[in-house]
Amino acid sequence: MKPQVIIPWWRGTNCHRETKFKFEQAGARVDVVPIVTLREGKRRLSDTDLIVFAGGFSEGDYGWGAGCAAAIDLVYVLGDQLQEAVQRRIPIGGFCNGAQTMTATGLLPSGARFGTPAAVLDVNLSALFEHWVATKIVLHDCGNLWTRGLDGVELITPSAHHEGRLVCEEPTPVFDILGSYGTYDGDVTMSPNGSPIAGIGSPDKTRAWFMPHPERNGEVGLHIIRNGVDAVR
Amino acid sequence: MIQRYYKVRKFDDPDALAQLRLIQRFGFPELRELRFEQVLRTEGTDEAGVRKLLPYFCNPVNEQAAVASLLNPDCGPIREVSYRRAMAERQLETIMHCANALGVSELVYARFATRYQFTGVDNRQADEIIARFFCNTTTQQVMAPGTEWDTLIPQGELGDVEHIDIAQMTDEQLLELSKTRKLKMDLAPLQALQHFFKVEEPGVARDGDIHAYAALTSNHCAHTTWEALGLMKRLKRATARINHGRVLSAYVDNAGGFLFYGGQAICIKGETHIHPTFFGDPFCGTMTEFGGLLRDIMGMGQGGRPILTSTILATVDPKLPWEKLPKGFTHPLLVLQGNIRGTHGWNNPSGIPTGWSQYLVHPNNFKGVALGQAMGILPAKRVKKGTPRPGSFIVLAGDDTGNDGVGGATASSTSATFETSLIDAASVQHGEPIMQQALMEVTPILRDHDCIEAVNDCGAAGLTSSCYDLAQKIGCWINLAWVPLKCFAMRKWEILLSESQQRMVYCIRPEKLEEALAIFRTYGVKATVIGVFTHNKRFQAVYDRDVNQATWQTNPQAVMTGEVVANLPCSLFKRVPLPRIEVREPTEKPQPFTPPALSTAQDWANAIRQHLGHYNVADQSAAAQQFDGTVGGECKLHYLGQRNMPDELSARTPVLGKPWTIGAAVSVNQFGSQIDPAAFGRLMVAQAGAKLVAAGFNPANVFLCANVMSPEVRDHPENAWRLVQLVEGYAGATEVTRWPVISGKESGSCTCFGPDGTRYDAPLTLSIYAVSPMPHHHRLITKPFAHPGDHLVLFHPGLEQIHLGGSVYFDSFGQLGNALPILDLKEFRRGMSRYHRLLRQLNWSGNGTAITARSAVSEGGLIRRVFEQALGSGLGCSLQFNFHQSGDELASWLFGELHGSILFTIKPQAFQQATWTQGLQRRDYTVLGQVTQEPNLTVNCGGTNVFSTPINGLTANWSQTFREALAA
Repeated sequence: MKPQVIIPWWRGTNCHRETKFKFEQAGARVDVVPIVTLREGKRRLSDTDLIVFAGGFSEGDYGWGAGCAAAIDLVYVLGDQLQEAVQRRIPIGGFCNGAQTMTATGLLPSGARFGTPAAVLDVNLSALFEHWVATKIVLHDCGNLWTRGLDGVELITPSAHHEGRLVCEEPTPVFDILGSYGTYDGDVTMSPNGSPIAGIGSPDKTRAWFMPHPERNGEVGLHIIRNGVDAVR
Repeated sequence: MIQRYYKVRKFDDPDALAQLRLIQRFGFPELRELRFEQVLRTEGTDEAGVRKLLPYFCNPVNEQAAVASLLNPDCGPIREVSYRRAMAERQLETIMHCANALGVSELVYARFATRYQFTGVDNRQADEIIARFFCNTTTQQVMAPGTEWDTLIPQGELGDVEHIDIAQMTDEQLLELSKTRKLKMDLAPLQALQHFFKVEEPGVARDGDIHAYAALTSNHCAHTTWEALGLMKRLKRATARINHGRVLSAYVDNAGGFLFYGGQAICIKGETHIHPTFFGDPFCGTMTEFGGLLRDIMGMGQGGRPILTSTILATVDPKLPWEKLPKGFTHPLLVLQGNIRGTHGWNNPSGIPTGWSQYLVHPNNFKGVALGQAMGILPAKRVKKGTPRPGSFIVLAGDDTGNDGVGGATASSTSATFETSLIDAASVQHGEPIMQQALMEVTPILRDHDCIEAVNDCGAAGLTSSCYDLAQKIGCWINLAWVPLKCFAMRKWEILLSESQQRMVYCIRPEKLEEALAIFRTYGVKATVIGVFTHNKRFQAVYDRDVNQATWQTNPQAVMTGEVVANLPCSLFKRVPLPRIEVREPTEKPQPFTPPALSTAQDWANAIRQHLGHYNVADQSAAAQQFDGTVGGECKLHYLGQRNMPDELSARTPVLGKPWTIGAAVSVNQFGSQIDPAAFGRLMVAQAGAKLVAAGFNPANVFLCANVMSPEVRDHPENAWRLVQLVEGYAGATEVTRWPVISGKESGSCTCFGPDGTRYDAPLTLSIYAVSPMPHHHRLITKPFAHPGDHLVLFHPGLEQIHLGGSVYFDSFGQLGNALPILDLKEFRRGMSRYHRLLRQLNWSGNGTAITARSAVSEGGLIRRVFEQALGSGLGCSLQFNFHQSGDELASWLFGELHGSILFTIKPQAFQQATWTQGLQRRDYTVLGQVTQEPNLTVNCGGTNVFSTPINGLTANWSQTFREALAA
């Protein structure tokens, strides 16, 4: 039986096709589920092996910004299901707007309490939408299931966002760095947004997000995605 | 009771800083600081309720919120800008949903506003900054200090239908009617409408009748100029003669389509949006352009899915000093910046990659060229335009209807004046890409569930054109009272005419209605039944709140109750009086030009550096990097390569998991048409096609979308002559190359008048969008040089004479010249086939890859291409010309724009075997030299070195020109 993946879809989610395709390539069954279907209880977010938040502009990124409206759905409408998923250690991944959504929900990095953000993916220092065709990210294997076996491996993939600069609350929440721009230690001059951090993972090693797009990449991107699928196979 | 919350950022604000720099550059250097403050107003909640909304309004990590303003009034003037109360809050649907999720059930309405604080300027300057940068008075207003609305709910009344006795009017009164109602109609169509109400159906016209007729018979909708000159027929005839077996749809739908692979069809469309982009609102105008392109793809057949766009903008030099800008015109820098912002503002959220962007300058482009192209995919069996049957419902889906975008079709059909940006501001749409993106998602699903009998967009002329287009053979009835509104101060005809790119009309059979509405709902798209297709062959619109929609749906009939807004026979819209247009060949001929001779190595290096710094060929990645070109995961060739090397096409595999590739290339030029428009048309076709063929696409399967932007021709016989020549040129070229034009768009409104009456005619512009399928992306030949030692070959079939007329090189001297390169199209066509066979022989026969890099020569000439190929690879090249050094001849080879020529590299082993030459005609190619390890550009003539210069030394102007212009 292939592992089941759910990709929630909001109006404005626009990377779900390629994300679905990559997870299918990695051996999963994937359902893109409109948020209305989840809100109405026709599907449960936690009835799956893996949850992935795809890129885009969920609900226009209305409210205070990227991922906000989606996060309110996840915290205040589907919160019990999401908490159940976290407690059951269902792997959760997010790319680009999915990363913003996970940050806005306080899923990663974790806030003081469920639903409270501990960081924000803020406006790029250039104040511009930056599309870099070949962004160099150096991956870190900190035991997180998504980057297992990829320590020091370079991921050259597109990044495309206006809000991708990780700014954390004080005290800095606990998370693992899973990807750095340019070099292993991170080089802000090789970052599209001004932060050296391209991806982070949760202390329990099940959740991860990347601001760039592994789903638009070939082998290395697929390796990350396959890691996620293999973890629940 | 209205509750308020204010918020500001805790830390730095990159957006405010960027705006500050812009405003400082635009005449307010004394502005020292700019701060933004957002305001949330709620109605129906108490203070505790609004506090519960904070998770939606304020991110505690980087923002702080309070019940009172956080701006210190002592730091400078503060201005608050909000949407007018007649306008619905665009975030309302999302905020109401979030309020419900957050437990704020008592919320009745909410609105957002922005407060701006300016430090370093006085009140008058603050007002100027607000008016210029932050407040579009069509929909927004500056809130006077201390004023508060008693309710946030949109207020306003719908105006009554006006009755106009057009039958009794004199010609002068008819023209006055056109003027006062902004119909932009000539006397002949006014008289035709008058004749209808005087003779055919005697009576008084309603305002809806008049506005619907004006819109549907406008140049924009009815192509009256091109019909009058016989140009539409000429193009259709050319495509019919070619009779290409893959063409599935041409000139009958929103876009043209051809067969791809796996039972799929590709559709293409071009769109101009000149009026709102240059005179109105560059940002919203550009958003409208891309929204228009994408909804044309959605409206193709029974619903297509957009997969790619491109953008072209031609302005006056953005560095134009402010004092030289005619009063009332929009500064070209603002047009450029607004266009870039609008392009990413629409395409990025839509998830549609921008596959090409190009920016041009010409001193007459005050009303220049704003152009986009789009591509989509749909099953081939769904590509035919749907035909509604009587009894099918008219379902309006997407955004609510407002007073923006009213009259866009008529406003874009004429010249502009210095007053246009004020008078016609209401014709500019205020787009919402997220709703359109949801429509893009839901349309193919509805199609695949057999819910769509036909589909159309609410672009130009709104419901009028969308419903009439579908209903012209049977008739339709609409109840405007069922149209969801976002503005409550409209006249009823405005509901009929309001344009939007995020509203579509679907024709749905009664038995599929329930299923279709459920699908819409699942994808968060509002959809409403607003009428029915009839069989009385009339276009009928009423406003009647008393018709019970649920009851009516059980027996949908035309009910002529309530207020009748429009009631005309569909046949009337087909009787469009065409203008008489005089055509006369210009007597003034372009003059020859001889550029200064280049003698020393330094002369050459300087000339090349300057040449590469020309705005039209310089590095334009500062714009391109703001467009998501890889979304969709299907990108195989992005048009921006290593070190910002621009490619000449983009290529994608639109069916995920399949190798089937579609390539798209653009040619566009504003110089050549002023020398010889017919020859120019031929060269543009050759250039666009050659870009694809060079990369490995089959010259037997190239399909075109042609966009022509002309200055006004109806009052200018010489402009009309140039236009006719141009169309004949490219239509004839397609017949020779057998590359059919299957879609396109013309605009004849690139003329504007300054306050002193000075006329500015933008140059006649042609853009060819060439598209071609390829069975496997492994066949793609890339652009950068691959290996040192590879031989460089210039393949130039059909090139008879090199002339520098119309070149970027001449334009650097402010000159045009008088002769374009001469290309024998029949030889060119044969040459493209020979090149393709060469690729089959050397690259795709299973014996490795011998052709290692390619580039098609176009604007900027050979020197631009070798520079780009070297830059993108980090390598260099050495060129050898057999003739002895002669400045004239060498300049012609290096700077000449050899449209249709392909520069390719071939591995030494294959080169030495010489079998590669067997399929080629000797006169068709010139061996130019070799790729070198050293990143230098070396040119020798007759065995003597003319110059040698590092590639890096040539990049300075090339990389700076556009960036400087953008930050002028």
